[in-house]
Amino acid sequence: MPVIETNGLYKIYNEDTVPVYAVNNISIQFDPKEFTCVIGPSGSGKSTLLNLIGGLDTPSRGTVTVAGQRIETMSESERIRFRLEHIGFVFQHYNLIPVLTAYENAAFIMQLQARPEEEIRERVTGLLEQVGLGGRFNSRPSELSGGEQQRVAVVRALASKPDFILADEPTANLDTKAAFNLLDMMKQLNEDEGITFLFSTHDQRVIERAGRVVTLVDGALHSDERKS
Amino acid sequence: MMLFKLAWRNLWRSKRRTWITISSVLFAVLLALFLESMDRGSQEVMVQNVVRYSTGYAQLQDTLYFDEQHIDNAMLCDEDCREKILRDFPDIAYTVPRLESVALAAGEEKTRVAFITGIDFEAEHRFNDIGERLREGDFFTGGEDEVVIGKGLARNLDLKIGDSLVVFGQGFQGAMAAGKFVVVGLVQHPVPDLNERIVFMPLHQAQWLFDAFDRVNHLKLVPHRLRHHQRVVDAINANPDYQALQAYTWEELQPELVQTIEFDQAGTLMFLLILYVVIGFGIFGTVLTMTLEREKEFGVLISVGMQRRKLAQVVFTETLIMNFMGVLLGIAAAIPVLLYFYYNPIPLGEGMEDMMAEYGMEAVLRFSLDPQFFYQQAIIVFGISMAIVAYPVIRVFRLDVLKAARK
Repeated sequence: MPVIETNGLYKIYNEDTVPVYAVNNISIQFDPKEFTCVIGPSGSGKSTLLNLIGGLDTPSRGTVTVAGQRIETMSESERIRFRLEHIGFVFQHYNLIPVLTAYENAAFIMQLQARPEEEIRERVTGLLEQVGLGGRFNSRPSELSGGEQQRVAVVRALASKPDFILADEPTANLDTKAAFNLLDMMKQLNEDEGITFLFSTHDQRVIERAGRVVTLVDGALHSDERKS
Repeated sequence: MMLFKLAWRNLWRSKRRTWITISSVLFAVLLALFLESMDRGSQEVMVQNVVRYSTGYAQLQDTLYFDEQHIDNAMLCDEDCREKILRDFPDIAYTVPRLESVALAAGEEKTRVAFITGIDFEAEHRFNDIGERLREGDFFTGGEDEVVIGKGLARNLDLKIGDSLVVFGQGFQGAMAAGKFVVVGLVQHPVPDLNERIVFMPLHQAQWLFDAFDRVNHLKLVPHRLRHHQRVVDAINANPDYQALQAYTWEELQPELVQTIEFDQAGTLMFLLILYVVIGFGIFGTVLTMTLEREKEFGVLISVGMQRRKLAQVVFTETLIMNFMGVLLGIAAAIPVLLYFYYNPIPLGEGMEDMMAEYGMEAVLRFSLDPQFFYQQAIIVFGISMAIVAYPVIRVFRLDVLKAARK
């Protein structure tokens, strides 16, 4: 059973005047444990597709089924709750909470889920050590490099064991070394944790490591290539 | 706990801005308390000056006297009656009896309408320091037929100490009230009109003059704590043993004074409203900046699964903490300032001293320390600050997550 499935998905702006098809009739499935890139030129609809899948935006037409649940029919509050329980987010600009430490940022989602403190400590500590941030628990985001911040963001997204992680251009602000480190780490977590990763990216380094590359052009599905 | 921690840390991510907001609330509370204290202080002095020479803070009368203030409606109340009142109502410290009526008063050649007032000098002096107003002679020497008159009346009747004063009027239930008295003292009564008319004599002598034995027009009731006067009045009026009598507060007896105070308060309220608006916009400015600067963060938090309600709680808690600190610090700052001015009232200048002294008032601007206005003003400023928090809370609920997260 796919973890994500869209059917006849559209996102149309200015539908009543001059329609702009940001997402144009996309029907696609993503299976568990996939490491997928969504690529395409600027304005091709990558981010819009991810927003629709993540329940941050509502489609003009079509359906989005995530972990067996239709999210386009949910209320906003239900979608927020659903995102909390099922989806991890990694952003281009890391978007850590500046007043919290690395540990607190990484534990933030689990705390919102009201998980037991002991479970949070065990899980977050383990993941931060796994991504090489064992000595930076108490550092604030401003004291971390870009690569370190993005690793904290990945741990934040991953810690609650979501069904999949949506990553919007996660390497765009990283230098080559940091980007490779991050990708290796995510690939490793993908294999170790069995969590599905779905990226939007322009970054060739990400594309090379992806197990599947979905290409969008003008909002429509142009190609869907699985690597062996 | 996590939300509180987040709110607390958010507060201190921009220390300067937080302190500016706290300072805005602090100064709002400080200024509001200062203005209110000055206003209340001057009102308290005004009430004290007016009330102590006229109605007293609370007064007991015959039930008919309020509508028809005539000696025929004077109530029976001798020493025993006064002592019983003190026993029955422990909030009352002492009572001040008066028997009053209007009569003609004549000197050797002139006659004037006079206000004959029989008093228990000790009680009267204890209440309003009338003895301090004596300018010549004594306040009764213990002799027969003695009166102390206002300096204005003495001037009008060409009287001096030792001269005779003839009083002619109507006593209780149509009895003739006529007598010849010796002027033993002259007082400068602080109420100018009374200074021209007042004739003080011992209570028993007035009762003899008016043929109103054991009667008084009214008893001033002086509570241990002056602000408990309403309580005293309520207690008496609720007591079935006192059905033939009626107690009143000074507010009921002096509606004009209440109106004057209300007018005065309206002026202060205008100042306070301007202050509230200015301070309110100041606080709103910083809250607005705080909110707009963090919209992207709000968008991200909602994206990753934080309910808007929880985010609103964080924003609310931030403002709550700031306002609470501002109010507490404002009160803390106001206390020493107001204490200083309470014990060191502001002088009104040399020119005012003589004029004010004529009215029995000090030429100073007094301050009040009534705890009531402390919490009133604190609550008002706190309420204004908390109303401002509606903006970021509404903003959180209306936030377009995608637009905000893209910023």
